[in-house]
Amino acid sequence: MRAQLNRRIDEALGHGMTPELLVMRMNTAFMKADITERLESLQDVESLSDVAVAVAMKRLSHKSYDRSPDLDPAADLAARRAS
Amino acid sequence: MPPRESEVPAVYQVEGRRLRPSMAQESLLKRNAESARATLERSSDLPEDNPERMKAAMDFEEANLDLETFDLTHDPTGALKRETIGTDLAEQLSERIAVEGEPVPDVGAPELITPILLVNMGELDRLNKVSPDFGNEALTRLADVISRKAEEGLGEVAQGKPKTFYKLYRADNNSFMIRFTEKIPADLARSIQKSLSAPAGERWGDGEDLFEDKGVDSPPVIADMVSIEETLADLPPSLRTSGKAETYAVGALKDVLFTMQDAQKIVSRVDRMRHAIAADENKARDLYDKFLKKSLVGVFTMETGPQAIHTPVETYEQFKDYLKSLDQQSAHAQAEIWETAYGKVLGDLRLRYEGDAKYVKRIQNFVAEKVKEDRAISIEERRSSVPPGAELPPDVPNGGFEEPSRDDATEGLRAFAGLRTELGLMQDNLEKARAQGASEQEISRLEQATRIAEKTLNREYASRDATTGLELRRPLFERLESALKDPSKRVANVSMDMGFLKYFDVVGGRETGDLAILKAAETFQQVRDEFSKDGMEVSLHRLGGDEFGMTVVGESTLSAKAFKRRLRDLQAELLRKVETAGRIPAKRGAKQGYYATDISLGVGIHFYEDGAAALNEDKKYELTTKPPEGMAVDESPAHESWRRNKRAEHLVKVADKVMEFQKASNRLKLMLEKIDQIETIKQKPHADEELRREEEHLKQLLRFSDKAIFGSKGRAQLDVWRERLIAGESPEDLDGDIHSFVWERMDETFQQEQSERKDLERHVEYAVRIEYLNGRIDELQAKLEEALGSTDALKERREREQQALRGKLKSAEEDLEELKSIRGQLAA
Repeated sequence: MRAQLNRRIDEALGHGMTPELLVMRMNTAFMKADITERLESLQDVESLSDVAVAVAMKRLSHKSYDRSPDLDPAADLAARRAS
Repeated sequence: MPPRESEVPAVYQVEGRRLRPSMAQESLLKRNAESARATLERSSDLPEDNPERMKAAMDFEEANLDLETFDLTHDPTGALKRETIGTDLAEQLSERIAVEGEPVPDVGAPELITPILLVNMGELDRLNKVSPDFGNEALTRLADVISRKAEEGLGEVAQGKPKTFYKLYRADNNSFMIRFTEKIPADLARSIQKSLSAPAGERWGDGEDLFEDKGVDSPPVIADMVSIEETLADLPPSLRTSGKAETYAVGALKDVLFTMQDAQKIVSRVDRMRHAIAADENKARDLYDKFLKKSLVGVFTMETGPQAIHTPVETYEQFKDYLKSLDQQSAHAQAEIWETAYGKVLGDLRLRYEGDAKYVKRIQNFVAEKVKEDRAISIEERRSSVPPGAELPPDVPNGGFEEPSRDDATEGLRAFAGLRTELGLMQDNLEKARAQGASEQEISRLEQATRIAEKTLNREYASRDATTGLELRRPLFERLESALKDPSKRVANVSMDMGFLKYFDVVGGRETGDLAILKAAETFQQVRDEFSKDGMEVSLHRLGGDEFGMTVVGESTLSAKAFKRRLRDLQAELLRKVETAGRIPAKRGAKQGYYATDISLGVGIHFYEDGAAALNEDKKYELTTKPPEGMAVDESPAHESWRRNKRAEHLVKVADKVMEFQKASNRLKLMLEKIDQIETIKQKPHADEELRREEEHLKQLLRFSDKAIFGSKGRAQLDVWRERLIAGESPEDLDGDIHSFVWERMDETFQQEQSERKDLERHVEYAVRIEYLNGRIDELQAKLEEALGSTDALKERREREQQALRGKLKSAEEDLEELKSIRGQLAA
């Protein structure tokens, strides 16, 4: 799971998402799940508990990470043309 | 008999584009190198240890080094690069101190002075909008005008050798510095200074008018002057014997000049606005919002000093009202502007040297005295009422930060250290030989060898950035262009931008800023070393303050897919390594309120899979279909090299834009995430303290990010998104909206720009968008493949998801097609 999380983090970084944003996203997930652990940097992922890793993984695998850049590009374009 | 291929290395090729026609000294050095090479070739039949041949080889090496160093130390306008100003000035001052000893106490204005002039050309932004090279053309012209006027002004005083009287430097992006090396009459110096200033719209001497041809106003030129004599007379007595006098005097001299220049710039900008408002209100608003606002905002809102103004003067309307209120008492209006401008720059001095009140006072007094003499006005420091920053969190541990070594952190620093050691050894040998009474011939040989070692070190210094040892901008282009010669190679440019450098520099102090830069460079070097293998070669460059770049060249044996994959990995590794390198601890000169902070990095990448892709992009965006006037489209070497240069430039430009796009999106996402955190905390009992802390953090983020998130538009949009978060959406649900928002803002800015090559700029914008979409499509494809490759059970469960993904993939592709067709229409 930990390796998977690290892979997911690298994928996000590879697309230009910054470490501070990823750290913050994971911390919000911990907050919402009432986990007291917090990350200071990506290095700290190694010392997370298994529960926290699972929560972080869930957050970073949120289905919307798979969405296209616009919510609905075709509709968006159509709307822009109409206006 | 066919000519024997020479084993003698070639004369150094001057590759930098020379914009300035008159480069007599360079031609002389080139002739020297050529003749030394010819002598060496003639002696190449002699045995290798023949003294004549050895001498010829050393002569050639030395001549070639001189030529190369000249090329590296001069910028394309022909002026000396700014890096040398400090050392040259220090040398001049220390010679003067040594010769004259104690300066004579102030006995009124001396008749002979050694002037240093700073000449600034305003509105470079506006010129660059005319065409990308126009600003440089104007600067080149200015360099020529300055030399001509200085030489004309010297007249008989120069005794026929005006060139030996002064040196011309590029002082910063849009200023030149003339350093006189001889004393000249004070009134002559003042008349030269006067002849060099010109308001906007005035012709620059005779000859064809560069600006009239393009139908634009000439930019304003401002010249300021300070003399070595006045600087030395102002030197505190305690410093004279400390051995640090030159360093101090150089700093003071620069501070005085730049401070006066800053005030001049403010006044010149106000004048320009005054004229613009009188001529055409719409154009004036445009000029203010696009070019002048960033430097005028806050200048006229002061809280201390006489006539403190408490109404903000920020927007165009406020600025116009302010001018109107001034003009009601027109007799004093101009003096008031001068006083305000000087008040502001004197206040800035204090901000810059917060820890050194004595020094600030001294420079302030010095400037005030000069202004009193020159303009008969009394000036006094004023401070801006821009609100102080939010409360900073207590210092935090530095997260495993390890201090980088100044001799070892990068390849370039290692080279510096190695060459310094070599030079030391040479000097020892020479001294030993002298002590042992070696032959005159041997001594002379050792002397030349020492000189060559010294020149090699200087060449290395000139070709690299001093703080990080990284290569500069020119080699980046050379590498890209040379890689583009081979169409089978894969070529990428990586643009990197260090965030919050100002924070390290200003709050943390200069040394902390330098440490942050060095640490970043060390990290980049590690990533470079890690990725420079298996058919991929990476180079690393510092392009300016907080901007860095990498070139990545892949062999054709590396598949396009693997190349892209490794670029992604490289980006991930850069971001991860920089963030985990530890926080930059405070160094000497740090102000209260500095706390150890991570380096943050923005990255943008653009690449050509191979020559076909480059050609394709070339065709699509008409990058090279319009060569400059006078260049034939004939596939000649000159034309080919121009084309490679344009392609390289395009690569860099798109990567920069991608970086900008990423930076804005990331910053907005970060703030939205913080808002989500705050909303989450609000629902928890007894979390007041945590809530206060997080809200403070958000305020800070906003304070440092205003520009990145497009000001009030971004802030308003964040409020809208906050509502959606409260309604139950997650920040990720808004990612798509954020991208659209950023894209639209970038598009708006683009629409406002008045570029001659709008078509090309438009294509850069599209390339960014397409690059982004391609990235998303890739990602979706990868997900799809992953989904397809999983077990049957999973397949079944994910079938619907796959369909949804395919749908999204399809619509992204449609979007891409749509954009292509819009682009087609635009091109038509």
